Amino acid sequence: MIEHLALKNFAAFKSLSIDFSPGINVIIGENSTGKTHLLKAAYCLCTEAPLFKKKPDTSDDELEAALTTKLLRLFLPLDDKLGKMHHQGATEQASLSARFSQSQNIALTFSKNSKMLVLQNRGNYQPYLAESVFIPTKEVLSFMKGFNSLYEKYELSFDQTYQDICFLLDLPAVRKETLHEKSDWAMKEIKGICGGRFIFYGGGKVTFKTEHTEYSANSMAEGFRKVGTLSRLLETGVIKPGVSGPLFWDEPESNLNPKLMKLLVQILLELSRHGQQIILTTHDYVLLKWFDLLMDTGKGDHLRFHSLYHNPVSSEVKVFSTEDYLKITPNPIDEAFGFLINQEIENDMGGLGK
Amino acid sequence: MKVVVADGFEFRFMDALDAFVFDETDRTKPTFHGAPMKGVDIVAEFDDAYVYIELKDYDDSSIYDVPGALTDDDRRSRQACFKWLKNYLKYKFRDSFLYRYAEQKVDKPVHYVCMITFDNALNSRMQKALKQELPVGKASSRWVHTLAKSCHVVNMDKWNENFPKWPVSRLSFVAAKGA
Repeated sequence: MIEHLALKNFAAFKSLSIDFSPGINVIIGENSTGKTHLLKAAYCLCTEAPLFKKKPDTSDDELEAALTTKLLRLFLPLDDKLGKMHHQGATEQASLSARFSQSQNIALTFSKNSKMLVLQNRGNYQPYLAESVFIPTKEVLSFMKGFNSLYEKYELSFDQTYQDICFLLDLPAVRKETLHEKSDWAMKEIKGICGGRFIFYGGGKVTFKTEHTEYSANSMAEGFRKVGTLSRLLETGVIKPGVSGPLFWDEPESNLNPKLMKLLVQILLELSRHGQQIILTTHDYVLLKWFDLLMDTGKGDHLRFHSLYHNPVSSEVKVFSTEDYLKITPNPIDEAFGFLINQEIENDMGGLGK
Repeated sequence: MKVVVADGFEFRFMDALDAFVFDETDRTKPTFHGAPMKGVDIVAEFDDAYVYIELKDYDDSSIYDVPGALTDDDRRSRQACFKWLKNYLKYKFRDSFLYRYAEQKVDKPVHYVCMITFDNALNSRMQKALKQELPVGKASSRWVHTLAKSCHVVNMDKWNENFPKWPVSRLSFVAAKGA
């Protein structure tokens, strides 16, 4: 579980630090405030579990190399250069640091000419290891057949999150008896609302099966493919409440109908109640509001909203965090409704009061 | 400038010809309402328009949020609350218009602005429902006049953004500032 992330002179951020809820974190902000950058930076620092599983005595040099490659593949900077991720106009070193739930921490720096990240600190980093998941904005079920081998061979314009998720989706399902009770419940709910389930045959081949018929995954609604992705990650045990690392999800709302949106929020809340940390970004009022309405502090829900915004004086990206929906400031999602209100007043009342 | 204090808010109308608490209950004041009718909180008169203002300051807006209901009972309860508030705002306007008709004060277009402490999204829903039922504009081909020229539901931030000549503050804030 990630508790704290600090970014200095990195990508969109001059200096930003954020404290995450152990439950659900909802990140909002206008375009270009760095929501996805924030998500990817946190994911990068949470993601070296497989490395340590393969080699428990991984050295600092090996960790630096692995994280450098990961960061470059996640952000795809121009010319594949770390220096291109240095915050524009900054002169000091860039740094990324994180603190995890049992006081583990890691800190990395790089400068404009660095070829590698430099590890400044890895306090107890290794035992942190719980695999995290990043679900990118675009759904992948429609193109994952053969994607991993293509990704390894060619320079595709997809960042690493797409390869990671395709790899995780193709893992075998866990035995029924080891499936978490809430994972089983969520999968059944998703199946019920979609009228069937996605079947993963390996090699990226995916179909959608109802009681009587089997369809190509591509013929299914994109919203179904999105919740189907979540269902599969639960089925493979990649997401296992209380065991797996944070779930990062970039704009889960795209192409979800309102019915699916409510179910998705119900599932995410239920998973978080059983120890799953969730960090997501959204532009959508309905998703944001469902979280506000469905959260129940009596059930131990812990929800924190993080609003990224440009400081009007310095133009630096800053964050305002709150647990109270009505106190989210600024709230560009609600402000979108505000702009409509302004226009109606302008149309109906002209210069009155101005 | 006309300064009006109502329901914990202070309005400063810089360009108003007149502005007063419309549902005044103080018998000693010339603007005492005194009729068995509902009344909006404030009426302000300008060169070319009247503006009726109704205020609602809520701590918890969720009881009006029908789409957010979790159970059928909850939905019915929220529908009842939303409908109650909509009707409350609607009948306040209509009674006020009638009262002003009796005062011979309906000679300019009337705009109805409700300031409610909801978020913009919920205010938009209330505004849509209220506009349909008030009604705004000519509801029938037989009508020669309109009751309401327009109707808007805004929170305090939106009010101040859209009406810079009529700034509003919470009275507690005004008092603190003065202290």
